[in-house]
Amino acid sequence: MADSFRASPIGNGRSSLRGPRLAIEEQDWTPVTYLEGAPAGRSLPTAGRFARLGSAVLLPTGPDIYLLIGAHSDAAAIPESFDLAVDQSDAWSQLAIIGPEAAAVLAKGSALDLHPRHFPTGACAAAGFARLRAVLWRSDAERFDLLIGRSHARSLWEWLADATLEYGCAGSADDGRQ
Amino acid sequence: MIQPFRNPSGGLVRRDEPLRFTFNGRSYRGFGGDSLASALLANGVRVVGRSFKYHRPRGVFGLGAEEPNALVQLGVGARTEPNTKSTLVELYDGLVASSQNCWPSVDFDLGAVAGAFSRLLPAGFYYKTFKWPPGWWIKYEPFIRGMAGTGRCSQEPDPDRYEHCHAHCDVLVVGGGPAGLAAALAAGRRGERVILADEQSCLGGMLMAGGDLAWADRAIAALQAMPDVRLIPRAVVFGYYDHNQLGIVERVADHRPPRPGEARQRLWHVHAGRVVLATGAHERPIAFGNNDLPGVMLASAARGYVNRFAVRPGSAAVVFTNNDSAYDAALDLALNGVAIKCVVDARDAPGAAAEKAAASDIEVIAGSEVVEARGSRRVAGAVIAGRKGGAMRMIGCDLICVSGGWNPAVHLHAQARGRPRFDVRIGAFVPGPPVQAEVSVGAARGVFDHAGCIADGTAAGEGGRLADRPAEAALEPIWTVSARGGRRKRFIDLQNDVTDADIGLAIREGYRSVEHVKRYTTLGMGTDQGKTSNMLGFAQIAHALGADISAVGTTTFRPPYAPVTLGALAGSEGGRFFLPNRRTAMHDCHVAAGAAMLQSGPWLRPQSYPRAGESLDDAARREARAVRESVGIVDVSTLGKVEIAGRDAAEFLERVYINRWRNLPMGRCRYGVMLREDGVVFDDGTTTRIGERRYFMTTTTAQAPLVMRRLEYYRRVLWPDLDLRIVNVTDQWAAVAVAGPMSRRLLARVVEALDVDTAALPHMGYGEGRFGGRTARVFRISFSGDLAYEIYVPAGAGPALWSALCEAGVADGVTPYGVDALNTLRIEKGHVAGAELDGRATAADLGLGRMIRADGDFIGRRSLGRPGLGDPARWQLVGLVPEDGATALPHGAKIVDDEPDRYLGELTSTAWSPMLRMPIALALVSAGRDRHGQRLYATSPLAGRIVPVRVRDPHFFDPEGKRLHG
Repeated sequence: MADSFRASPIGNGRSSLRGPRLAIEEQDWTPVTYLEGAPAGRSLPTAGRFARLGSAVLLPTGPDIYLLIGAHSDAAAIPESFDLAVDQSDAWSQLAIIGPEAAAVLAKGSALDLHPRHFPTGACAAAGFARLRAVLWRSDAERFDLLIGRSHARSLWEWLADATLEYGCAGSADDGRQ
Repeated sequence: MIQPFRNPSGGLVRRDEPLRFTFNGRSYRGFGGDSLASALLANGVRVVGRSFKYHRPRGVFGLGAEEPNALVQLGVGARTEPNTKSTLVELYDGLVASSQNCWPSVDFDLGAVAGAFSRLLPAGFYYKTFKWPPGWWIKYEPFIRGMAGTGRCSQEPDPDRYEHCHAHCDVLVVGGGPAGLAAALAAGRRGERVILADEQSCLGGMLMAGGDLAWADRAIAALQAMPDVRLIPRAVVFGYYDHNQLGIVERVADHRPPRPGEARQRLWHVHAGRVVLATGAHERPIAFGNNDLPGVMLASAARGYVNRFAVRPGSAAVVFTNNDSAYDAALDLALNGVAIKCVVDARDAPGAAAEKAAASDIEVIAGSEVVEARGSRRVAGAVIAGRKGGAMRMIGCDLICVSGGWNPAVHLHAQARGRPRFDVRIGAFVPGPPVQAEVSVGAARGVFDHAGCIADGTAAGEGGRLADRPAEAALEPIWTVSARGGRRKRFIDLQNDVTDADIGLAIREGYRSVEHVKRYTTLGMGTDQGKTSNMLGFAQIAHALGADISAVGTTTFRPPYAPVTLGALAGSEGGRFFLPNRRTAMHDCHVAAGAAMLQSGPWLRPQSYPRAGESLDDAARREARAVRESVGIVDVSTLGKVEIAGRDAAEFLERVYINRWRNLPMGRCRYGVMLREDGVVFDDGTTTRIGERRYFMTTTTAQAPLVMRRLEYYRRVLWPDLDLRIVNVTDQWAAVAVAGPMSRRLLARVVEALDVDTAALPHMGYGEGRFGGRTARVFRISFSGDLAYEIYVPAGAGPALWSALCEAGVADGVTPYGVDALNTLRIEKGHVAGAELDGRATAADLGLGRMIRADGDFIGRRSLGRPGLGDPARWQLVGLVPEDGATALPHGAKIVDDEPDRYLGELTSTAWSPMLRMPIALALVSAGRDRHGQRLYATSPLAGRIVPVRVRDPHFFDPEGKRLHG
């Protein structure tokens, strides 16, 4: 979906930081819908747990507030059932943090307890990260996904590039610009 | 090169790992596993530094964090670090260290003349210089400060990395001695998540100084096999905070070069379910005359040096004790080649330990004390005498090992708001009832035997109750020997040169509280925080006051337990990571166009786009003129953007803004002003009705996060009954203002499916079009005062929009403009911004009073009736021009009239106006609206400038607003 009308806030195309046991991958532009309300008759994920709807995920991020990330036939029908749906596809940058060192690098910026017992696959949280506000969820044992506000994305990317140096991570060409 | 005091075998040093190091310019050798202190002792270096106040020679006194004397300047250049405890410095190849507070050398220090004048430098003398003779202290001070002190800081930037990280555990065990290892084992076996931190380079604690090391090795191996146990050596737990959060500094790479990207030190924020404090105990000395001579050492430290490092801290030793523990030291020293001249025991009837020593042919002299040490730069003998009188005699020795008992390390317990209580059985403070989820075990609560420590640790690790503490073998409670030794100084606090006489003087001068005596004498205020001295000091205060030690109490235990480098506290949040920056979607377009980027709060914004040979100011003037003459584009993505939806959205706007909103038709924008509860202007912006029950609000860049927070608060706390949703969409939209007479033409070329005719899109109108297949929201709003539009597209389309505007506007000479030109244009129009919305001005002050609607309530309305807000002398918004039409007006100038002390107001914003071709300014001036035409002065004492100005209406350009409708 990368096109000039859906430009990345970090670099040209998908940026990445890759090392032997850790990779951070910027994700392609994807639809993100902010949803608010408590629709009757629809089972919604409880606080701290996200739901999968095909390739989309539904993340609770506040009282009666959800983010729907990704496109899916069922997901498309969801916004109508809420009181309010607002497009936030361009408001966020999504990063995947993958590998055995993923939790270690996240612990440099997050006060969340990411131990599998406390933050298993399926867990999510809207919380501070590296002095910014982020949404974090665990997609599987060694993969976390993180949403960061678009205007902060490059700043966070630079922070991550620095924080992952000790894991031998090197960036793709487009990071670290002004 | 041989190490004359190193034993050929034994100890935990790695003899197959020889290391070279330099101390005071001389090269020495040590082994892997050495501390700098042990390596210096192995090489026979006895004088390590000079003391803080009297410049007396000092040597190694302790074994670990308690060390008061052997502080060194470690490293050179940018990496040099002062006041490093040589006992905690792990030796590495190429280490460079030097003595502190001495000149020209540690062996011949001119500052030592201070000792000769010591009678003139009693406790508090520094404070006394402030009082008399009047005014003289300013002459003494640089001299005193030059004489006193310790190491020197590097003036260069720190080249090393530091970082913070979080860790969570069920059990945090502080200390890797027998009690700590047992606790970690017990908790780990229950499947709990355990973190064990220890300040030493290897675990084992005092077992390394003498004890069952095989047990420790087995325990460590078992812990390493547990997946949820993390062992962190070289890690000082320095602070215990609320909610069982603790701070740890790990010395990751102080003893070796850091690996690429690795931090030198790491600060752990630990979130612990419960905490087991196995922090051990610090041996305390007994103060006797000249007890600071190099060669006077804690008995446990001497034992540690022979056992752990195979280093003899001397050749012939006198051991002075009031308890049994020093006999272990005496026996181990004797076994390892140190002649024990005698054990001087303060007790009249030492028990089984003394008999055991006697059986090893060690002479025990009971009921006696060491009165003073003899020697010039190191111990040459000990003068001993019976405690109840009798002749004094001198025993030749080069080492005096002293033990006055053990102080449980209750620091972290006390930081966690526990209140230590005095235990007369051990002559020290022990932990009181815990306030947080913590428990002290082993020596940290006064259980000193190996089996007791393991039982304690195991019980605590399992979360069970600790056994009752056995009654300890009695010790003779002495802290300072009798004064028969004459005028020799008896040091209570070795690091800060505080003697028993100093404490006596403080009491005679009227100090009673332990906290006051501490500050007056500096007792316990060194980098060791009184680990060897406080207990002696408390006892001395009690003695002088004739009170019990328990009544004197302790000083307050505050973090940090041990010194923490500022680098570790800052972590990675320095330099370019000091503040996370915000960038707009078009950031790279601005940089590519040569913009000078300006830090504006967290945002990076273009200040102006200077061309070759053009100054920033020239560029801003060119850009502002282009807007007036043709068309300019400016990135306004930084404005706060909020969507407000729901049946009660209009009602909500009426409550938060001062003006009318219920009658706003669909597709129209309106300017609004918000107040704080006290009636002062909070923020302004435009809000547009983009749907039947949906509004799009913009706020100022600076206040956007605060406005959002307040709106959420109003909605969720004050008016939860309103049917209302509020969403922050600041990052979703990139926004470009297109301004100038040609702006409509440019808009029409770039945004598709939008009728740009004035009939369809009038001033303060709204329309929706398409750009690149995406939604474009277009608002006909003007901040510049010219015909202008704001185009909002999803941020991912922002760069494409900017490029499209630049390309489509080539023929019209489209000019990107920055914050400076934006400011110039709005000053010309008298539009207020952050400098005028200064948290003091009301809507009426800013000339916006007519916006206040007549009926209905809104935030701040009830405060508007306060008499102070109606005062005719309030500062009001005016325009200023220099009387000569040319002189630039100083930023931030004060406004005065002919009486220069009468402060009438201040200049808030100024620019050179390309349209008026002169400097102009906005100002807030007392009764300003009545002063139009008056001559005042803009003064800047800082810049040394006074400019005569003429007060006028703030609408400098096109006051009728004709151009808006162009």
